Amino acid sequence: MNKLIKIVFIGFLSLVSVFGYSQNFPEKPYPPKIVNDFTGFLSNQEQQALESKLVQFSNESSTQIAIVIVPTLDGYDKSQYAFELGDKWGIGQKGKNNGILILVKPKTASEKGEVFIATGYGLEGAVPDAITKRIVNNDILPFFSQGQNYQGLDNAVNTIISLTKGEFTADEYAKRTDGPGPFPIIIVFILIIIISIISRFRRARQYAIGHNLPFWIAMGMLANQSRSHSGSFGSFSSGSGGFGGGGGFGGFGGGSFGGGGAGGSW
Amino acid sequence: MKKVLITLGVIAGVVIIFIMWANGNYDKAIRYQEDVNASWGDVVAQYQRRADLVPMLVETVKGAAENEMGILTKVTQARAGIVNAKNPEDLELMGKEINTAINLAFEAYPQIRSTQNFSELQAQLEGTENRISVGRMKYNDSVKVYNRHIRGFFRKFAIGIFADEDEFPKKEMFQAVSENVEQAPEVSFKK
Repeated sequence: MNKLIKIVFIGFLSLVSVFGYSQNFPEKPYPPKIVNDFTGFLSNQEQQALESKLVQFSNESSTQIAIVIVPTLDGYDKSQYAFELGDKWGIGQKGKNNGILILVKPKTASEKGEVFIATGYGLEGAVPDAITKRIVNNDILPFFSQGQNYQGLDNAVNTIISLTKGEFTADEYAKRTDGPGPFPIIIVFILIIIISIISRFRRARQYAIGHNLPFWIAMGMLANQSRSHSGSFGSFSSGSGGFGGGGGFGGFGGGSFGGGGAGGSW
Repeated sequence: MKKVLITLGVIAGVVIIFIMWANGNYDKAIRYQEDVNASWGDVVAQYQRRADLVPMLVETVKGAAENEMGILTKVTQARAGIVNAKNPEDLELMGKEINTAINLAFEAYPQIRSTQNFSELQAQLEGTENRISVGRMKYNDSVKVYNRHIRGFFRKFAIGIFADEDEFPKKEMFQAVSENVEQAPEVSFKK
């Protein structure tokens, strides 16, 4: 009997812990975004400005500095929330663990504002806890308390970028195989190749019919012909490179967090 | 005759499939156990890191109080205890010892709060605390996966085919912090 109660109790506890674990966290954004404001803490232009700065840095250095602004911490400690969210989204690259999460919970009428900078395992050397504390106290809080939200975050981002520059290089980003980022691009690419092959076959057949030629020869002729204006194909492929590399954000890479970082409140 | 052959074939097939499945489970048990060991190593390292902060703390305001030696001895003992800890309970006990030592250092040097380094030392102390709690969480997660794997009824039997006895013991987890909060000496920075 005693054992039964124990089992039921443990079962209940684990149920609670399972629900408590992941239910409260916002889902990973799709399409991927590195700046995620769920509260309207920043204006759209401000989000855009930070987004493009951070995506560019991520593409140059593979280091991902994510900004997440949530309306509530759901009773979590801000540090705990930051580490679990960072792990869940996988900010930073797998194996390098070079992600940084700037978590903000804006001040409300009844609650204090909270901010926490969590550093991934791989950046604990470049950005020690004492430094994150200093960033929070000097770069962020004085501005947040005056309502200059963007300025505070931009300062912090600039400091972190200057600290982590050169820690990791972009080829690690390019070599990355995990994460959802590259998959849609690859699928699109394959589709385009298939379509172009099919359309070439079609054209070849039409050409063959029109000129009374065997299908083969028409195919060969068209292949030569397309080589002559391969410029258009080349420019297309560099365009798609821009999609994966320069323009958009490829997604979080599966980095993980071990408890580094510091925070503050205002 | 043919029927017998088919039956034998089916039985052989089932046995082979079962053995392959069992072998897969055995391999998985090994992998999960390695994960548990790795995350255990991480937690131990974080406790050590916390222990190593105490001499730094003492160094910050040097030579003021007579119990300096006492604090350092306490921490040295706790550090040795951390290395030899075999289960979460031992480790937590040592963690408490370290917290006590940290508190003693604070009490012995009240002026530490006014020093320049204090804010950064505080960040480091909080950092080790965070790392320990993340390490505990990850350790518990890995133990959860491992324990579930080795204790399933069929899996237990299957793993038993390949494993030595006691090769895969059930592992203990860290208890939730709230349960023993009254005994855990908190480090308080406020005065």
